[in-house]
Formats: sequence, structure tokens, C-alpha cells
Amino acid sequence: MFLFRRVTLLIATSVYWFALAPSVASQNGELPEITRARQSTVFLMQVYEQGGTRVQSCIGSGTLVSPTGLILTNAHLVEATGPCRGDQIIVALPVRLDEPPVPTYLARIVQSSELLDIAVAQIATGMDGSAIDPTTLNLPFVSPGDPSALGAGNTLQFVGFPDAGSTSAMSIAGPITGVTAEKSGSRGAWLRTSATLGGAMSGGGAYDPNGNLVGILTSAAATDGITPGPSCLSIQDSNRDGGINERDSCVPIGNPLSMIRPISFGLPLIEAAESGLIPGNAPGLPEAPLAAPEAIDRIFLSQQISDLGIPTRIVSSLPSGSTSVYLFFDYHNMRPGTPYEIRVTINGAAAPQLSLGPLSWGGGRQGTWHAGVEKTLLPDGLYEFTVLLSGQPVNATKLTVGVSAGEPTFSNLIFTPSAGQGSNGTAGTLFPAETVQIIAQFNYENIPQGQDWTEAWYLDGTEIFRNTRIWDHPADGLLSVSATNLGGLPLGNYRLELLIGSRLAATGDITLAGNRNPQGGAAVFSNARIASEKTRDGAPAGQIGNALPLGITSLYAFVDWDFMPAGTQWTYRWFLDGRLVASSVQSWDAGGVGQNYWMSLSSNKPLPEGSYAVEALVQGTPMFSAKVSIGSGTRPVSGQGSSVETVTITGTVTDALTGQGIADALIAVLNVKLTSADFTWNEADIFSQGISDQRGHFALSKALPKGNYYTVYVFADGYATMVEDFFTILSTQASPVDLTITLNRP
Amino acid sequence: MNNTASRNQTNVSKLSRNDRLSAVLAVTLTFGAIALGLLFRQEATNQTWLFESRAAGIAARYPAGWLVDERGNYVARIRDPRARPYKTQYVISVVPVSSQSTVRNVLDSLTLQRASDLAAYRVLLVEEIATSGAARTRMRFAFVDADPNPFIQRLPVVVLGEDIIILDGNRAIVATFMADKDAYDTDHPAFERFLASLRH
Repeated sequence: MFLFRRVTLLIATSVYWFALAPSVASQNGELPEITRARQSTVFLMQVYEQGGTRVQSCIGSGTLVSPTGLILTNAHLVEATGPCRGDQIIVALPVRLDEPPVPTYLARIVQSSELLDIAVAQIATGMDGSAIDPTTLNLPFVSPGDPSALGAGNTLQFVGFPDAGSTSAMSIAGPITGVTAEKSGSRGAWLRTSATLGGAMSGGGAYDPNGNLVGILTSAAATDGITPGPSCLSIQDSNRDGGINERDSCVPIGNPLSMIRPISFGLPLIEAAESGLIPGNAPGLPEAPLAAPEAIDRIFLSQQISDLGIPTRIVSSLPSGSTSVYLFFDYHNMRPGTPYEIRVTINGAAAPQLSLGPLSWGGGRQGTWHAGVEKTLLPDGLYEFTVLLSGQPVNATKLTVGVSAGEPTFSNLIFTPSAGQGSNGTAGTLFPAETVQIIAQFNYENIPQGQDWTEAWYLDGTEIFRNTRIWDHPADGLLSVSATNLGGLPLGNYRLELLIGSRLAATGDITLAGNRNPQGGAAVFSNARIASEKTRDGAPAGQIGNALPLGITSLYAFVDWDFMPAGTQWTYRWFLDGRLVASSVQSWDAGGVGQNYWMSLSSNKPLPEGSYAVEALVQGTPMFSAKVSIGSGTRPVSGQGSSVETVTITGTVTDALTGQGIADALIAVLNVKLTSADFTWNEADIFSQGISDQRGHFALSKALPKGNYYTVYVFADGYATMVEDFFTILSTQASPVDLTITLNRP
Repeated sequence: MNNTASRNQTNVSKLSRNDRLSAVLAVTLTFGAIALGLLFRQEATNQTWLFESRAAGIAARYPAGWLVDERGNYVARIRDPRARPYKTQYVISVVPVSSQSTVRNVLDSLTLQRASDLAAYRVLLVEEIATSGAARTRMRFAFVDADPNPFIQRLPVVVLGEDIIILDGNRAIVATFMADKDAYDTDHPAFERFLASLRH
């Protein structure tokens, strides 16, 4: 005979206790927020098959960001690039926090950005490949926080696995010591810390005092992935010769890290992954295999960088009290995943807070790169900036801080098209092809009369014009030079270099691409249309238009293009009801002109009803956008709990007489405000459920929205069914909640 | 003392016919109550509820107190919430067939899908049987059911199952029974009654 009141009292007591004491320290005095962060941190192993054996190629950490098994981590830990050449991603969970993680699932990549070195993986199958329904997982997870207010002085908690998975996830507190800019993420690309963090923590999380995820720990291994050493561990008999030695594959482990990628860069990827929508695009022209070695050249320093990415003032010395410096360099033949590093010394001593990496290269094969610091007092001294690839120095430059200003300089270089012919005269770095004249304007200071100076223009790396003159202007002022072709400048990537004597004094890159749009800017793409299918040769097919029916599984946005130079950086994005759901940053590789380039958004089930939009940008400049609706164009109101706080419910079902746990009891929570009198014994009435294990422990499949009451059924063979109406979750209830449910025999 | 003993002796020796009748009646009533209780229990155990899907044109009677789910890739999944360690269940699904399809095609499609969805899936037996006066195909199979949540320590369970294929025009109705291997034989008669009640 079941005892209503006794069970109710037990449930109420448990809920009451946890409502009053949400911040009670868990095991070993650890704050609950830290415990949850450690529970949500997974150990990742990239593996490949060799001779029937799974061999690890890369290891690191990741963070669960949804109960359905979405994992936020570094792209270099899950993509097959650089030293990581695996074809499977194994996820090991911290089943018990005082023990090493347990390999449990296989995951697949659902969103990835090589440029940002961020990826989102989804738990997909068991270790044996058996399919898993993600909605049944109910794993611990953390929520993103807001890193925008973070800066030097804030203390964060860093969580990850410090070694090759032989210990549990570790939490280390440390201060933010600064912010580093880099082309991958502009001025706020990286947060820096002085905490000592093991390289395998890369992919783990940085947490604010509220336990919200604010950053992704990032470090690549400065190794070729072949040579065993501290950065490449020999931990497996990969060749199955009976021993572990130098003939076996080693596992790269990131260098001790100090870089944190703010979570704001990962949010679009997380949102896109949560939507289950997968972006795609037309394949590019085949790329010639890279034969030449990776190279770094034209390395120089600038005091600052303009909003258009142009170095403002190239320097070899700075006065005392300077607070910013940027390193620029050209790169060639770079392979994705190559570990790259900028190592800075001051008077021969390492300056880790000015150094960068090692990081996994994701900037494409060739181009110009930059990294730097701002609002950071630079001590006087002799600085050396060295760029390393795979741990080997490849180029370097020097800077002296503490020298009085006074050397001749060119600065603040900007480019504008000449007025007329529909030009809008706006400064930029992207102009329509066949623009007649590009004007380069710059400031000059301290130029002595009689100084020789040079203006040199390049098109796609080839010098097209050079002129050396004797200075006959005042010492300070504003000057312009230009590139002119009355028949229209050909499309391509241009570079201007200004030298004072033989010293590079100013430089900037621009691109001429596309036709001229009515506003005078560049228009690369035209004839945009959206279809539900494409033919085998890549033409629109199926339903075409801006209103498509329910049931389609893909959207294809087709465009024609004109005058698009190879290697031009471009981006396309998809939105659903105004929310970003997919984004991809790429280098253009489809040729200079053509038709029917497509960008797609797909799902393995019918696309959700709603209003979709697609846009493309070239070098950050919007090129086109298009809209399409599926169904009515209005997204149905999502189910209960979609935008409210929820409570995770776990617990134990026990025998009233013996106190032993009852295995395989079914705990069912009905939909909000549905009572037992309304229950139709249809599972559509059940909102969340769980089945107890050998110990009687259970976890409900879905968290319960706060501020509601529910009806709970507990079934177990040999026991009276328990029914509890009006099981209330207060709006102030902390999560998780652990219940004790006692059943009596009939 | 002597008087009590003699009174007792007198009482014993003086059992009347009514007393004997009362004793017999008590015993009879007791056995009758037990039999009635067993009968009630039998009726309660065999009590059924009606499932009906107008969209699929299928109806059947299933054990009372089971949960019905119509939201998946099937017409209905009906399962016993109390069963341990595996929730014994019936699944009714519909597979389209063409004039060129055979039962074999239906079985193969089931096997191909289950081999990727279910751990250690095995087909044990395929045979022709006669149920409700009609010839049908039965496929017996087994798999291992394991909770994917590593924080819940439920031991993997060996599940036995059976598909009954019923060709019905341009579709095949698949009635599937699944139970823990130790409960399979005990629960199978209820599935046979469910199958006998199936209307399409």
C-alpha cells in the first residue's frame, strides 16, 4: 500500500533542502559551479584505424554545451589536419569526478571554423557505432556567459584535462592578464592568462565566477607530430611490435597554454549546431598540391592597425610609454593545422604576455597576417619578434622601445576610388573591377628635403609600377599617390609599398573585384535565386522561388559571379527568423567568373517552418542577400520550456521496507498542469521520463521548466504505482534537484 | 479443575451438526473466495484497452495500464511501464510495398535499419506461420538494449523480439513484440491475444 503523504513529504523535503541551499559546496568543498563545469568537461581522442587497431592521433578537452551532447572544442582537435589525422572522434566522459574519464561515445563534427580554431561536435553513436538518439542523453552541460566585460584583472576558472586522460578534469583559477589581437578575430581575438595550464586542457573551458562558459582554452602542439618528446607523447604500441618506442606514433599534446578564445566567437557555431542545420557550398576548382615549403616573409611592425586592417605606422622603434604594437607578415604555402607561434623576447628574456601560441594555422594558403596588443604598457628595451612554424623559427624582426620619436614616417594610409564614373569615393579595401583610378592618401612626418622615397605597386604579387623620387614637399603633411588605368584597372589583389630610402614605411592591400553596383561599390554576385534542389551538375532544381512548401530538406542559394580573384576571403551566412544558424568563412576558389555557384542549408529531416535569409560578404563587405520562406514563413511557437529556466531532476527509487534501490522503475512526469485525472495513458501526455538503474538511480530525460506543477507516476513491477499530483517546481528552485522516491509493495 | 476438564470433554464430545456444517461452510467459503480472487485476478490481468488509429485503419486490444506512443516512426508503440528489466512492448508499423515487393524485402529493410540502430542485432529465425486463419511470416530476432547515459548504471539487457508481417494491399503491417529474454515466454501469450484482436 503506497503512502501518499510519506512520499510527498520525502519529495518536498528533498526539493526544499535544495531550494534553500543551492550554494552548498559539493564533494571536497568544491563550489557547485566548478563541479558542474568539471562534469561538463569531456576528454577527446582523435583516432584512426591501423591494422585493425584504433590508434590515437590527437587528444584534448571539450565542453558539453547542451544536454543532447553538443561539445565545444578546438577545431584542430577534431579535424584531420596537421599532426591530427584521425577519422573518428572518441568522447570520454567524467562518469566519476575522482576517476579518469571513460570512453563512451563517438562524435561527429557539425560545425567547424579553421580560422577561429573552434568546432562543435555532436555525440552520435556508442563506441560500437550503434545509433544514439541525442534527445535521450540528458548529459550535464554549461551555458555560455558574456565575455565582453572581461579584461585584465578578472579571475577565471580554467577547466580541462591536464594530461593524456589519466586523471580527472582539473580546475585552475587564474587572472586575465591582457587581450591579444589577431587577424582571425580582430582586436578581441584572444584573452591571456598567466595561469599554468597543461596543453591537453586545450579545448576546455574558461568560466566566470557564476560558472558560465566565457572562453575556450586553446593551444596547439609545437611539434611535427612524428618526433616523440614532451610535446608528443609515446603512449601506445601503434605498430603492434610488442613495445612502445620511437617507431610508434606519438600523440601531440598542446604546449602549456595561456590563450583563451572568447566564447562570443563560438556562439554562432553553437547556435548553428543546435539548429541541426548544415551549411554547404559548391566545390571549388581543384587546388594544385602544395610542393613548396611553408614560408613567412615581409615581416614588419606597426604601431597600430586601422579598422580596414591596414598598418597605420610602420616602426622599428617606439617612444617610452607606448601601449600598442602589431606584427605583420606575409605567408605562403601554409598547410592547415600547422602549429604557428609568435615568440617575443625583451632584452633576451621571454615575454609570454606579448607572445602568441602555439596555435593551429587556419588562415589559408597565402596572404597577409597580423597580431598585436593594445592598451598594454610596453617596457623600454630591445624586442625581438620571432615567427615559428612547427616549433622552428622561420623569420624575425626587432623593435626598440624607449627611443624618442623623430624618424621620418609615413602613416594612416587609406585608399579611395577617384570621383566620377559612379564611384562613391568611400575609403575601403574592395573596389569594383575596371575602376579607373585608386588614390592612396597618407600622412608624412619629419621627411627631410632631398630624402629619396619610393612608390611601388603590385598586382597579384607582381610589381607593375615603381617610381623613386626625391622629396620636395614640406616635412609634415598629407600626400597622395595613385594607380591609374584609363581603360579600367584589371581585377586582382593590389599592394602599395611606400619606402623612405630602402626602409618600408607604409603598405596596404586592396582588391578589385566584381562589377559596380548602383551605390558605387563592388558587386561580385548577381542573379540570386533559391531552390529546394540542385541537379547533378549544380543547376537549380525542384521548387524555385522565395516561398517554398513544407517538407523540403535543403535550400540552395544560387548566384552568378563576375571578377572574383582567387583567394579573396568571403563569407556566407544563413539566418532563420533573424537568428544566425550557419556561417562559413572561406577563400574564393571557384574561378574569376561563372554561373550557378550555390550555398546550401540542409538537414536530415524537413527544414523547420519559418523565414530564411542568406547573405554573402567579400572581405567583410555585404555583396548580396536573399530571403525565402518555408510554409507560412512563421515558426511555430516552440514547446514548453524553450525560453524559461529549467531544473534537472535526478534521484533514487528505493524499497520502503528494505531501503534497497529498485532497478528498472519507470518515472514519468506528465506535461505541465496535467493531472492524473486527465492522463490518457498516451506517452504524448508525458513530458519527461527516466528509468532507474541497478542502484535505483535515475535521471529524467528532460529538465522541467520552473514555476509549474506536475504529476509524477512511478511504476515498478512488484510495487504499487505511485501517483503524485501537484509536484511543484518553484521559480526559485536551484538546479539540479535530487529526489528520493520510496515505493511500497501492494 | 476437574470440573473444567469434564466441561471441555463434554464440549468436544458434543459437536453438533450445525458446528460441522459451519466448519465445512467456512472451508468452502475460503476456497471459494480464493477461487473468486483468482478469477478476479485473471480478469484484471486479461483486462484490455482498445487502440485505434483511424489514419492507419488499424485497431487492436492491448493490456490495460500500458502506455501508448504514436509519435515515432510507427503507428503505435505500446509498452508495459512496470516490466523489468526491459519494458515489454508491442510496435505496430506500416511499410509500403509494391507489386514487385516480397515479404523478404520488408524483412530486409527491417534488418538493415535495426542493424544500425540496435546493438548486437541478430536475426534468429524466419518462418511461415498461420495465425487467425491466415498465413503470415514471423521473424525472430535479438539485440542488446543499453542505456546510452553513462551516469546511469543500467546493465545491458538481452531482448528477444518477434515480427509478424501481414501483407495488406500496397502496404505491409508489421506487428512487433519485444521483451526481456527471461520474460519472453511468459509475456508471449498476451501478444498472441493482441495479435488475434488486430483489425485492419
